[in-house]
Amino acid sequence: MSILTGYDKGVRIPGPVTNLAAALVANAVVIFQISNFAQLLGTKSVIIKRIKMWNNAAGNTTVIIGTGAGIGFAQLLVPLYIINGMTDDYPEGDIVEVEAFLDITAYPTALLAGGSIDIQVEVEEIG
Amino acid sequence: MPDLYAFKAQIGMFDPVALQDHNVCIHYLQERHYRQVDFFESLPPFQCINLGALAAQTRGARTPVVNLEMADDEFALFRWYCLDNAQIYLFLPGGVAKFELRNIQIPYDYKTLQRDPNLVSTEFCVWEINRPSVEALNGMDYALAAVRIIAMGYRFHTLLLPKETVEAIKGGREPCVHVWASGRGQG
Repeated sequence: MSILTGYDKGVRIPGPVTNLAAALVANAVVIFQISNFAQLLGTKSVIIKRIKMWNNAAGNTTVIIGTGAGIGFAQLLVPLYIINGMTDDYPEGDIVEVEAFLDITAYPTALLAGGSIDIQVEVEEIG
Repeated sequence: MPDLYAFKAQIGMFDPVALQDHNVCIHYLQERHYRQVDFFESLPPFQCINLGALAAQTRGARTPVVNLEMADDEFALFRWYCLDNAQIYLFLPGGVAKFELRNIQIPYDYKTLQRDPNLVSTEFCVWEINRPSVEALNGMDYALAAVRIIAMGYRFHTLLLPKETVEAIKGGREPCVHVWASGRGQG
């Protein structure tokens, strides 16, 4: 995480639709991969600007977004509550602007059997 | 004769200090290099260095910015800013402070780009491989994950000037653009 000076306007990029099919931090999966190609000049970082989620029979639960997985997980945002069967949309104004230098990962704290959550983020990539 | 000089304020990307076949005098410490431009090109804004993570209230080590060094017979004109919220102290060459007053060395600050949108005040030249270096200071109570510097400008390849032309420049009979490629100690 870093502090934004406002001079680092970046490029808005949508991430892929990712399915969160397992609960708990050990099962955190990458929902946005940061540019890390060795021949790319410069260090990139991303700020999440929008989050879209679809709760597919997973029960009322929360989704945690951060970086890493397991004991290396670092939480970026407060837990986001998502209601069973509903679509959630957190636009730019509803998200605290935190900067990440690692792949963005996410996991649900609990899931009903057979249920899962689809998640997609839109980020601003800077650097 | 185009109106070219160092520290020029204007809207948008800044002008080069010289064009093809123009005379330049590159001041490096106490040296003066009288040269003629025989090639130049622009350098789009690029991330020249990432000084890495910096703990809260910490001044990092002096670090050479090797990506700003130039080849033999070449100098570059740079303006620059920092993406992250650090103060940056510039040294040119590595042992000589740049932006020096009697009592303080002025750092680039995260407000510089707002107060000086043309980045005129950040302008400096690098003559050949003369070790531009920076130190980052994180004066805040939070750690920085990166300290990234963006530079842009122009690259000039130059040739030696004939002695007669140099004398004519010194005598004021030939035009010449003076550029400074180092800091300078006091006195």
